[in-house]
Amino acid sequence: MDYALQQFLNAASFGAEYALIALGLAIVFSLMGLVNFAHGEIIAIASYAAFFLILVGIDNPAVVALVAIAASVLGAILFERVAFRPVRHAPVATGLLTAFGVSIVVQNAFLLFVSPRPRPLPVFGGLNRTVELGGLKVQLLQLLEIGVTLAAISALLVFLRRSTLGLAMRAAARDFNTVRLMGLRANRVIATAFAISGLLAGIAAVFIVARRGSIEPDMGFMPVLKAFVACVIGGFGSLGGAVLGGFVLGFVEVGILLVLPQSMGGLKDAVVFSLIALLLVARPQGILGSRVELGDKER
Amino acid sequence: MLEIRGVSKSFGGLKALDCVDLAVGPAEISGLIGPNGAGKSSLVNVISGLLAPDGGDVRLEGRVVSGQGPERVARAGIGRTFQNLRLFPALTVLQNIEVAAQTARECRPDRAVAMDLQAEIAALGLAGAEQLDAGTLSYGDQRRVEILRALALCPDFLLLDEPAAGMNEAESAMLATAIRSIRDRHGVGLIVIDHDLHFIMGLCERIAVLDMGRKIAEGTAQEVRHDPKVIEVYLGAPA
Ligand SMILES: Nc1ncnc2c1ncn2[C@@H]1O[C@H](COP(=O)(O)OP(=O)(O)OP(=O)(O)O)[C@@H](O)[C@H]1O
Ligand SMILES: [Mg+2]
Repeated sequence: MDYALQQFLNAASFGAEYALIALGLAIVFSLMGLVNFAHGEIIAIASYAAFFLILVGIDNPAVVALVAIAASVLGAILFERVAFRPVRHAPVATGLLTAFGVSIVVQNAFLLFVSPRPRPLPVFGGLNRTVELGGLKVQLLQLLEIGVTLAAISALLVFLRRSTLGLAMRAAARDFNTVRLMGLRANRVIATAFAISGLLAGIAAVFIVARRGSIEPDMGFMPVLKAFVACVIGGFGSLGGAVLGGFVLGFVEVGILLVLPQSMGGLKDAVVFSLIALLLVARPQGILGSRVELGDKER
Repeated sequence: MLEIRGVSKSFGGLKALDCVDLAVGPAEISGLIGPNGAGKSSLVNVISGLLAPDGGDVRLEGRVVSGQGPERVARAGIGRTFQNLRLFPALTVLQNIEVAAQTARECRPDRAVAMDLQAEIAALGLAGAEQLDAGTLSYGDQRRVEILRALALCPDFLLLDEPAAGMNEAESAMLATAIRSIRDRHGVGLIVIDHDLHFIMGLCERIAVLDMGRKIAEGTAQEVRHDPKVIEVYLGAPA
């Protein structure tokens, strides 16, 4: 029983992490058809912000976490303003290449100015302790990860359902031009989407750093790849799909680990990525389907 | 004053608009007719900023608004509806309207305060439908919601692309009354497109006729009705 619960929490916390990151990808994709592969660097920015804070002697974990999250929000807004806005109306491939460009630039900046090697960052290590919950021993980090993710998703849901800007974003995901015809500034709607994606990535970054206890320049790559898979599983661009896909992936991964013999544990990612391949074959147009928009003849 | 000055627009080799001039005064209802593919919707797309003109410009009270994107046009005070409905289907009627009303509160607060949206909803016969998802309404009702949504911008000018399409005679008569009432109460100038000549002739003070991207006639209903070029284009249709 204890073991089953432990595996369940394991899967749910991985799923929560993927869901947070996948939501950020999906919210940007739903509005502008951009798969932001530089999303991983937003996670890295949050983590390096935490690293620098420790360097200057601020080590209160709560303060460090808040600053890290703020840094990723700013980073995401900056990416949009500097890199993605100029290519907003360019073909999909241009946006994708831009995202890779941003990713390479940021990774190399950390590589040059900090270190190409992993650096220890144990500031959130306290989260790895176990706590008693109704007689069961569970990891605090996993509880927090699941709880905070559910809270963040709920808050996002309220924002999208209740606020006018949220309504506009929901509408814009289907029909951006008509939202602009209602006088909403495209720049503001898109900047908000990036800010939200940065916020979610920042939260995820705190958990990622807590788990690994270290940072390195390309630390965002794997999480974003997983989030991408989550989006594909759930249906690209759909926010609900991103959350669902994230949790499905978490459970599939943990499930595969349980099924595979110990000696073949290394095959986990191979199995998972075979999943991407299969899904890409099944619905290729769902991912980077070209959008030609002209006047009111776009549907 | 809304002025369209020498507007041209091509799609590939096709000249959808060829040096079109049109002017609409405040509180004027102007009709725009022409056969399928004449360029009517393209003109509305250019005015509303969805398309940038290849030549010419659109001016609102003397200021150029064309080629600056649809949000600028909307904020400057031009609202529109679509021939092929473009409501936000997953949002409720009220939420659809709210997206536009927010802009009005921001850009033209005095007018926004004066606008009683509940009364407008009732005037278009949609009282009680506020909380329904827009996508679930009948086509006729969706057209009315589109008008309400455009009106919620508190615009100086409204562009209605085939607002009576799919409506029966009684419905379009009611719609004409509602449009006139909107003009009277809010001083909005309108460009109304429709294929129903009876509807247009009864509603509009001035009518312009487009054919193959060119304006071939303009005047009162009487003048347009007897214009030989118009008669030729409509080939014996009851003009
Ligand atoms: N975005 C576009 N891309 C390519 N061609 C277009 C586009 N929009 C319009 N056209 C073409 O321009 C011409 C004018 O079209 P438009 O929709 O303006 O006509 P219309 O007068 O509104 O016709 P209808 O009465 O059928 O609505 C048509 O030949 C149409 O196919
Ligand atoms: Mg048309």
